[in-house]
Amino acid sequence: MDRRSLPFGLAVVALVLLWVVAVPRLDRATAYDDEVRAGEQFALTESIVFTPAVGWEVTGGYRVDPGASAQQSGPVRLSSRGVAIVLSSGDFSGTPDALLSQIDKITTRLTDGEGFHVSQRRVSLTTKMGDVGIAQGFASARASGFIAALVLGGTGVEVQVVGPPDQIAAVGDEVSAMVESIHATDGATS
Amino acid sequence: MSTDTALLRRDAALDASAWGEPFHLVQPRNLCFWVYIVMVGYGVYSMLPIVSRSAHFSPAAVAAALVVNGILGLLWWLWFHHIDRWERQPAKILLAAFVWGAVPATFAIAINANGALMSLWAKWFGQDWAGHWQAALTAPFVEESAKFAGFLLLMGLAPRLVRTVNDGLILGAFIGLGFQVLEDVTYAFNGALENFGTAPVDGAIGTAWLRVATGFVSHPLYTALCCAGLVYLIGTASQERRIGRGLGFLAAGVLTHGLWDSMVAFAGSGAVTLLVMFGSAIFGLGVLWTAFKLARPVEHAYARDILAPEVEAGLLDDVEVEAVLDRKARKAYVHAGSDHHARRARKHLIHAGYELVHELVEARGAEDERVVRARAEVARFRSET
Repeated sequence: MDRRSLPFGLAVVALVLLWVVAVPRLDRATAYDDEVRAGEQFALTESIVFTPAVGWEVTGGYRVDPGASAQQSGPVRLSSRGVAIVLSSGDFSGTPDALLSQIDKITTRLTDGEGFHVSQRRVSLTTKMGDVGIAQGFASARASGFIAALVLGGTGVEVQVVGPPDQIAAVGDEVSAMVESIHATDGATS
Repeated sequence: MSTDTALLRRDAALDASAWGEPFHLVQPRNLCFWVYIVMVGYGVYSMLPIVSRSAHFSPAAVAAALVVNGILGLLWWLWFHHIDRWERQPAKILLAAFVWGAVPATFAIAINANGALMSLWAKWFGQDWAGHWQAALTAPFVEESAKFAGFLLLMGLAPRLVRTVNDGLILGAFIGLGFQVLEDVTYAFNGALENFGTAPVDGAIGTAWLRVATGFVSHPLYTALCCAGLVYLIGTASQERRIGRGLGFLAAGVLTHGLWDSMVAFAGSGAVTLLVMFGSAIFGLGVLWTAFKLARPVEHAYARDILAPEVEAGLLDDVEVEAVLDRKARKAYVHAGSDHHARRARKHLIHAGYELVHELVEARGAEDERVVRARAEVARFRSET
């Protein structure tokens, strides 16, 4: 081995170990400690908020004071008892049914070969503000759960709930309440 | 100066600069070669699922992302090759630099570390704080070190070829370019999925153009500064160790990157965002200009020595050599032409002077047909000045 190359090679190996091994391990070893407290709301967009269940662990997303305009907004990720709920949004001008079909199409293509399939039955859901959405169960090689779709004034909202079926059943009431809490602060409706 | 002395000067310059020497990546007895190969392999392994998922979702969006970013990358490549005026790094080493930035730096290191570090910021300081500052406190450290790791490997693989600050600037720019192009492609893939993937091609192209429009200060600049700093910090046969200067350029590369990424924190205030955007651009470009200015004397000294026998033989004089080397001297020399025809001939003479240096470097000081032809071109234009 050419000795002159050792310092350069070893320096790079050290950098790689730091970034590819040590930091991800530290991240995995560090738990989130950010529970939802009573009365908190999260901003999906500047004008669409929802109220999560108390005690769920926040792993992504931005809080907003009720009634205030959102400084930051974006996807929200929460978890509790092995169940994860992910809410995201984007421009969409069609119906909730069309949005759910589009979400199915993307997910089926992106998870090609991983056995993603949706159940045939779609069910309606109604939020506390009276907005109507659509939900549908799914299963893949890695997880099962359901996807819900809402459209509020030209903005589509996707809710994915993933986890073991028995755990999803256990937190079912909390999840339903969270989905039903989604609303637009500017009065936009489906 | 005698002809023999001038020839000795040329030989010494060719030996010290290693201009014109080939680059060999495959060196089984060199640790840097194995690290490079393993990391490229790991990068490809990490990259393929991302590309194949995107291609499966929307082949047209992937094609659009590759075409837009490919064209942009090619234009930058040609520009960086153009500013590599004297040495003209071998294409193989430029490709090795580009590939490091494009594959291992992006898909083996940055993708793993960025996510983990951003997650840690959120866990330690909360989502809201992380939302504002995670970009500025993650990418500059992860990505710059991931990229300059490639430069360290190239220093270990080609210690004769990679030894001046100019080498750091040029190779750093190519590493950064590789990173930039592949990062922009992955952003375009994500753009294809925006708004539930209803308009994937528009999303991919829109994202690509947005990245292009806001990317005039980006990875090539940051990495050029960092790699120039490494040359000063480590010290080589051509560049004595300057620890303060080295740390300064390294910090400038990281800081420019950090300032640019901190715009997220000021997203609510348009005026502050613009101030940060232009402030970081001016700062970064200013430091880059300084780095090139500091690197120039070494390159010019080598070029002068390579042309010394030509001056001795009367093919060029000192004023013409300076015009070939230095921008101010070039302007003055061209301006001093008696009429339009003479001024144009002087411009051509300067270009012929560049070509003569390159041919002498390629021939390693020997007399070959291309050197003879380059000399003839110099003589022809000189007779018209």
